Amino acid sequence: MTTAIAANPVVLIVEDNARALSLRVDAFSDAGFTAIGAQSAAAAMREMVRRVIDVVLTDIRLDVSRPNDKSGVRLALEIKESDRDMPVAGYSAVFADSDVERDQGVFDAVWPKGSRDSIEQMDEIIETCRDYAFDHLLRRHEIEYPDAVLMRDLRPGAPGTAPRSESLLGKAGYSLKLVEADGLALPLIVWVSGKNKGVDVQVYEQPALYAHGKTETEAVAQLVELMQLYAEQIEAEPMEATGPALSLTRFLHQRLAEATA
Amino acid sequence: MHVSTADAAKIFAKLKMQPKPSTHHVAGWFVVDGKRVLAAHYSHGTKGMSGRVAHLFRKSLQVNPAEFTSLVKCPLSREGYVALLRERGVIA
Repeated sequence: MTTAIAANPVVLIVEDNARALSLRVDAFSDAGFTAIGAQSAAAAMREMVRRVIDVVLTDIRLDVSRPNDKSGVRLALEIKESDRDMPVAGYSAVFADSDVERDQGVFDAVWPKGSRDSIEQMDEIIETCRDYAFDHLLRRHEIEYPDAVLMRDLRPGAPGTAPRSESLLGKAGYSLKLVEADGLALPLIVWVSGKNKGVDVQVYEQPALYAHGKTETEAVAQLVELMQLYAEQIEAEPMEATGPALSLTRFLHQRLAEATA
Repeated sequence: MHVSTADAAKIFAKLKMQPKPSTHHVAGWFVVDGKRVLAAHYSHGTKGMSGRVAHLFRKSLQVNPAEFTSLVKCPLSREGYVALLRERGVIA
């Protein structure tokens, strides 16, 4: 595995309005993505050929001068025809209700109505795209992640930096399974937000195991406390589990067993 | 979406999540018919959840953004939530 990899998930943002495009590129970059902008469907398709993309976010109306324009829908179809696994999300401020049911199935996620500059909606769009992008990025590198694997961040600089979180987790009795991806060890997902918003850590495929802190060390310490809290609850009150709770219980049992072995 | 600590506490109470507090977190399990189904937590404090944390909290509850809004704003009851998880296959 010697191919150079993109450190962060790559999002292609397609938006005809230059100002709106710039805002979105900045917002995604701040959120830890490599963000690429395109102002038309044709430019987007060129980028799709030139670069490795993990998720596409497109305006549904890419040509506001044409009434009822839906070139974003056509773009999504074209992308899916060439790569059906490529996640495509769509948004529009003015997508008519009558169009939604017919066309929203083209997209993996769609925000048919909303303010272009709504911060709350932008947060939701970014986090949804992050989920899709991360899944695609994992498939892209053909990494096999068995259950209960902790992974580490893919941010630039990570390969050379000492992952302090490993020793912190280790001291708390949680061993790490390292996964190699092009030379990177990936124990835990760590997302560093831009503009001093802090650090989020998340155990892969365990939706209940995440924590936030000002620094990575603080976030991991909180994650460890949370894992211990759940483990104590399981021990104090043994009970059958199903679904996500069963997966979490098995994960925590495995860690506890390894810690006491 | 912005979710305050009070919103999270309200969801826990509505879903009868059996919360257990620790130094930094309030964590609980959603139990149906004597079986744990999922776990969720929120942190102490008055600031509320940032965008990504709110997103992760929503995902831990296995709901989409619209359903999450219904949970926060009340229309979705515990019974409705159980039905939704059954429909989704989270509860067998």
